[in-house]
Amino acid sequence: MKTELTSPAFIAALVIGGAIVFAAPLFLETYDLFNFTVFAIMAMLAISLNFVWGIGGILSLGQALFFGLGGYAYAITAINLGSGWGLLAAIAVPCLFALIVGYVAFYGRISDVYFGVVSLTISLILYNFVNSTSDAFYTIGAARLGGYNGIPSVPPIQAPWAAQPLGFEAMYMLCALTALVFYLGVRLFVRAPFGRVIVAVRENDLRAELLGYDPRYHRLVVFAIGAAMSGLAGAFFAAWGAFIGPDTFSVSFAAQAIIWVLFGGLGTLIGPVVGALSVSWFTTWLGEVRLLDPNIALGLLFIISVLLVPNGMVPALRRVLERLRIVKERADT
Amino acid sequence: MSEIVMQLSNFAMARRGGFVSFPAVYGKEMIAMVVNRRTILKNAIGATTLLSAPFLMRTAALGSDPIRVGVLLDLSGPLEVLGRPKVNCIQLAAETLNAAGGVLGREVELKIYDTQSDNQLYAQYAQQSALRDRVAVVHGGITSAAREIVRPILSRAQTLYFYNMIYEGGLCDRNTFVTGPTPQQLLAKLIPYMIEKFGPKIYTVAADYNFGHDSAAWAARIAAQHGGEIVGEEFFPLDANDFSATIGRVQQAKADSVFNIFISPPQEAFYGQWAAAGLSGKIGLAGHAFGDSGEVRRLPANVVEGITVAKNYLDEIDTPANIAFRARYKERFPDEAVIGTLGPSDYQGMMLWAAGVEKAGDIARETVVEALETGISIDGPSGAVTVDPATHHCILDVYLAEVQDGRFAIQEHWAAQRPVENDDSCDLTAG
Amino acid sequence: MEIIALSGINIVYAVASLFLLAAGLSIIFGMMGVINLAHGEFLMLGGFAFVLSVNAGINIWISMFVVAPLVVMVIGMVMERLIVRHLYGRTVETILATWGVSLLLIGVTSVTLGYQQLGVSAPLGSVEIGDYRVGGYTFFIIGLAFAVLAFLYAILRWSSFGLKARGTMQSASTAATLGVNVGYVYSATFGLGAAISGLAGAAFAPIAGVTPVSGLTYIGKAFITVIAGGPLPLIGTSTASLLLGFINAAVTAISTPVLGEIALLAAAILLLRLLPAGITGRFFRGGL
Repeated sequence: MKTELTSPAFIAALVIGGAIVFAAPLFLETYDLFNFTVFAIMAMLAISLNFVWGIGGILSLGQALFFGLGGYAYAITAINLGSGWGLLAAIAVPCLFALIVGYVAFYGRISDVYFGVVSLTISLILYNFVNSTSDAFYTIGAARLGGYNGIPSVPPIQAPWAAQPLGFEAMYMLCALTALVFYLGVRLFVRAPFGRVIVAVRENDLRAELLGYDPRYHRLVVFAIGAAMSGLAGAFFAAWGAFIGPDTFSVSFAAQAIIWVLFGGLGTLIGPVVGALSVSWFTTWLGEVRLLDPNIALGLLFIISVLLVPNGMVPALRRVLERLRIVKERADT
Repeated sequence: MSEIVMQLSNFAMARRGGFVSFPAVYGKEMIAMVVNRRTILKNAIGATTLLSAPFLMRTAALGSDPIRVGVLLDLSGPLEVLGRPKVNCIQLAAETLNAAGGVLGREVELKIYDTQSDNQLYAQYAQQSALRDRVAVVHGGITSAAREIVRPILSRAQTLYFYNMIYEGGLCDRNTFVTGPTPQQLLAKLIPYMIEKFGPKIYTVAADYNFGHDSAAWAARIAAQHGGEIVGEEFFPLDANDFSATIGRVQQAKADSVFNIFISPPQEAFYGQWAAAGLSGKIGLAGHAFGDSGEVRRLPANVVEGITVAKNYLDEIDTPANIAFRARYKERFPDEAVIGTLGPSDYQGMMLWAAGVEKAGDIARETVVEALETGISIDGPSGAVTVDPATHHCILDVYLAEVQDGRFAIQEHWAAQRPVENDDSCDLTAG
Repeated sequence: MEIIALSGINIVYAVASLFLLAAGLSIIFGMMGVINLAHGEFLMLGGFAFVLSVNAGINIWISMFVVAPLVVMVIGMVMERLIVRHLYGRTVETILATWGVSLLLIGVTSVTLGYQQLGVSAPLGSVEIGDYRVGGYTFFIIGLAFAVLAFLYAILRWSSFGLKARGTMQSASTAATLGVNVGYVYSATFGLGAAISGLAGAAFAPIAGVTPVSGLTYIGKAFITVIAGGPLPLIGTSTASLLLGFINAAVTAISTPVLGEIALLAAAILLLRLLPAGITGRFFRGGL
């Protein structure tokens, strides 16, 4: 733990990441900051999915549902009690939900692949349910669930001591910094003793169990932490656009999150962030130039990621750089 | 801009009248050439660029800077089917305005974003339109969800917003103008017609979201006022496609007619299963969103025969204005079989905005809003369209039609229907 | 009395349609262990093939029983050859790659065929039960489900292809040493599953319509039925359809279609908690 905190790579990541976060508002216009805020939020979701799937080895195909749950929890609580409680709820509700689902699944020993399909199915249930809540009957305090139309006018985040809610710039800082904290946190986690057990469970749960570690318990913990992270991202998303809707539970949104992580590099630390940023930027750009149907682009990206770059772009680039270095060294000697 | 250009430009402004004559256009091209040559020389790009001068002249033919108009509509994903004709109509409107000399003598330049049926992109593109593109106005939004995302962003950015859709009603926002019809405008005609023609017992099947719920509530209220009765009301998910249980229940309730408030594709599934059960012609059928995307041409003739609708626009309106509009649309978009009922609201939205700007003499939001609030009126393909100052909705013509032999046969027409009746809860002109 | 008959028909219809929607998927999953997330798009393509060929003037039954299955079979076999073949034994990668195919097919059909296809009306008229009318096509769907079940049973149980396929399913390496061309069997099995999906998609096209995103409305139900059914493609899927279809139709009859759908999915998850490997992971072992 101590060595990781003082390792050059960690410090480099901290410094470079911090520099990018703090320098961006100096160079970017408001509308770019607005877009970069949502990219940072998507990076948070990608990091949490990678944490659960790439590091914890849990095939959480429907991870995005926790993002949606967090968004709804934030919206409902913030409308009723204020944004501070909203953020707490956005962490607590997905975490609790993950504990229940995870308990049923992991302690029932549902196999990995089945779990993937079950998690997608839970997404679908939530999607169908939330879509059917447009009746005024589904009102929690002052918040109407709104069904297909979602919840508009979600309050922005406001610090308890401040007179004003966060502006564009502060909101960007909050999201970017949280994404950086997520990244560094996951980095520390995999080097910590608990993280090492998690990796052992992922690699071979029977062996880990024979060594005295309970894989069910360890999976549950990872799943719950990952859900809390996704939930917080969802809360930021709801606050960012002042809106949360059932699309966050849709299969296509779940697919997008999976593509980010796969494209960037499942199990690597920086890969999912790169994937989320590049793919989100790409789809936004596609809508502006109207060159290609986004589904075709995403589908191709998905297939290519699985078949041709199975480890993701970041490791692939790293290998190319490595090879170039070797070639150069040979040429030098 | 040099003084000479300024003078020339003022000269051209002075010459721009109600109609555009050849010399006026010629005068502007002259200015354009001056402007272009100056910028070219200033940028020291060189003589080769002069070869493209005719092109530059054409795009800049209408005075100095173009007026940018932001368009946020879905051109991919499930909503494409609704978004496509709307974008077409906006393009047609922009081209019509430009051919007639632009707005305030300036070219209208569209900045079209494909929102990909994704609400998150509505937020991003609304922000970009307002802050980066600095558009004078944003037209767009299909679902109420999209509208509610765009609206606060544009209000904050002080950018005028036009929502050109039929929707569930109830909006009251100074920065927003609605050019589509409300349920009150349409259902006040449709429901009494159904009661009179089929009988008092109506069974409502609706899509389970605000539009469905609010329209169903209006239908119930209007039916009660006209001696009718809602004998059943069911709400379905937006992707429902199995209606066997419901079709049984409709028969069980001995309904005289069914009022369908689905949107496509469940709408089509319902009509198909309804016809398959042999109920076409036995129990009356009306569709609130029927015809929005060419369903009449698409579905089998025996399935759509007899479906009743109330709309503010139909391809089949046979006024000279609409015959001309239909011909221009067909010429510009030869692959499209029909216009559908939605797009003309966008065309009229663009025209109302342009009329507002012309009246204001400026594109600043506040002056344009005030100009529109004078109760500005245009003649569109659907008839006269007038802004209602109190609600920022429109006073429109309403048509009642029935499908006969694969096309709408218009049964009745009411001119100048107000967007709300007996309701003074919204008055934007007060205070 | 009539209303009870009507409800009974609706329940049988729900079971039959669930089985039809899931059958193609269950063949591919049960025989090959491949979870094909592009299954919904197979149904959608079957629907498009049917609608396009009927509108081109081809007889409605030929379109449904020949054109649609053939088209989707060819697409399925191409997909198996290009993508799935490289991923056998790697279940997770297969899920992801087929998910990509699913998005790609939605995108391609959106651009080429669009959301404005002409519909085809359901044939076979209607039947009167007392005061009520029920579409004759409802009975056709019920009959078709039984026919598909019988056809698949016969082909897997008695044909030489079925024998080879079952052998390959049990142990691909043993089958290969006995001279079975495993690659061919995989390709043919995938093609069979795709063809059945194409047929099912065509059968639902007249009543549900078809758009590029039609697949998404079916896929959740189809998947959960197959997973709840467990490893045996026919017994598993038919028992799961029976159970889940009944729950769906019964809950829909007393409440709303949304609650019916939610009840179906929730029951399936509960079932998996009790039987983590599905119904046939515990019962009916060694069947089909």
